[in-house]
Amino acid sequence: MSRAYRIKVRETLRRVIRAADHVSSQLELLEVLPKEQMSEILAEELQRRGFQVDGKTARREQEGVTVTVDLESGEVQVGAESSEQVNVSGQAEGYGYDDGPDGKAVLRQQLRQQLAEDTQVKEDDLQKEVTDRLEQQLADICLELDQAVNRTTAEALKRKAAQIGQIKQLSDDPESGALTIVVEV
Amino acid sequence: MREVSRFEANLLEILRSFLGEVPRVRALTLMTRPLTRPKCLGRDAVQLVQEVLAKGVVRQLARGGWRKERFLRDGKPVAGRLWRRSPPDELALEFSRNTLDFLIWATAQNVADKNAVWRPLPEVPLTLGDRYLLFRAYATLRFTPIHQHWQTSPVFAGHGLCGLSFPEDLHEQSIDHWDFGDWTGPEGAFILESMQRELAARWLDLERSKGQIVVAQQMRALGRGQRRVLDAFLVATEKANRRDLARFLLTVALELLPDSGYGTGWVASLDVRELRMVERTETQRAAFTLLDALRRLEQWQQRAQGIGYLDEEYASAQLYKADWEDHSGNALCNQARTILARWNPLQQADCSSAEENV
Repeated sequence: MSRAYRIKVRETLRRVIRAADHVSSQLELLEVLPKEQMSEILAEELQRRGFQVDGKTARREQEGVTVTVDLESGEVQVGAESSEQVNVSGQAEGYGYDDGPDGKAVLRQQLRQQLAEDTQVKEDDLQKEVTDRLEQQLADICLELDQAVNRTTAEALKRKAAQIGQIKQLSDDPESGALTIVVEV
Repeated sequence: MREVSRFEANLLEILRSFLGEVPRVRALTLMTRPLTRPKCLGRDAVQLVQEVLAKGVVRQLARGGWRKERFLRDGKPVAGRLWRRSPPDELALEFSRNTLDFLIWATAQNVADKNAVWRPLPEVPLTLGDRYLLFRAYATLRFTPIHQHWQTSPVFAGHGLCGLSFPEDLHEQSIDHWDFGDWTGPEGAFILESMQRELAARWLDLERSKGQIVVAQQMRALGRGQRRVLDAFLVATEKANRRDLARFLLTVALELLPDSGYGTGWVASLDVRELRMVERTETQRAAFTLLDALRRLEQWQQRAQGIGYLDEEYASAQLYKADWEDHSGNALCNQARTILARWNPLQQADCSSAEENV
């Protein structure tokens, strides 16, 4: 006749959970000047806005969101990531039988599975937080990039006008985005 | 009077169903009831197969080719019905021993058995005629248990007509080589000409069905399949200087875009709220694969506008420009751009209109 015995197990799961998200797009820059010059003006404009320019890439990290611009291709990537050390502990109690499978091992396995599920929930929450953070900042980043493109185009137009002839009059309204250039050829 | 055996009668019935002459349910029954394969077919049976092929394939092509349309011949637009645009000998399709072998296999085997795989005869290359019949067989047997096996069969992998007609079947396959070079070349292009309306109807159905897709993964899979086949097809048409063969895409766009508003119809049933942003944008991009393809067609138009009277491709450029104008290409592209910008999170003018996002 088998005998029952009480089992108690305790487990701790330590893991680093990571979450990341990003969106990509293309800046639409008119080629008023040759590509290299447009890239140069864009780099200057982005630097004014706090971007670090490193060769062909401009990058800025702000409030946990990183914006990376490829100055040659105009590709933009906006991303956010986060990681966290989680410690999840738990204990379980049950019964085993001396003529049955190893009750402790079975219970430990079940507990580990539960802890893994709990960790997954935390990872999903972290992912949601990262995605929400990215989404909240997208509007402002989108606006800022639009402004950077407009300023880049305006500067390119000024340089182009100076190449064509003598600029007689130039009025630039950054608020409305209107730019008027009168050139004597 | 010609006499055929039971096996040969079944074979002829299967062939007729592939060519749309009898309901496919009859072929389905015959193809799942194996019969002993004979040593060879009788002369009467072979002659009847030839007749059915000759008449049936012509009938199929005439269904799409009877309209008076303009397509290119040797780089110049030619108007008329299909059989007026090309002399009969240029419309001939050759069928090799592979066709008979395929038909015999389809009659002898239980084709629904996942272990039943047909392969072309060694050292007998598939002709265009063989491949056209295989396409018709594939199209006839979609949504049957047989189709599930054929989707992954090497015989149909890279088959341009299958891919172009049913891109949703391809998403899990990684296909390096397509045979679009043959279907856009001088020997096979007339088949694509005759299939323009069929392809337009198919793609219209596909695009409209996207509004009912709920699961994001399904949308991404469909978009993936469409993108793969379109990329290969458009490259081939450009290389062959047969941009007129992509006309069906303009037809679909003309049907869909004018009343499409901001494109919500494509993603009406999708729920992407729980997805990461990268998955959301990939899903939305998949929904708008066709609109993305219009960008390439617009580049063709821009290039055509720059081709002068004395340039080699002047006549074909003029035909493409005429197609573009007939389909209001500029308006379609503007609408497509508006929709794509609307759904690009980095290009939205008012990024706070989250209530309109799915």
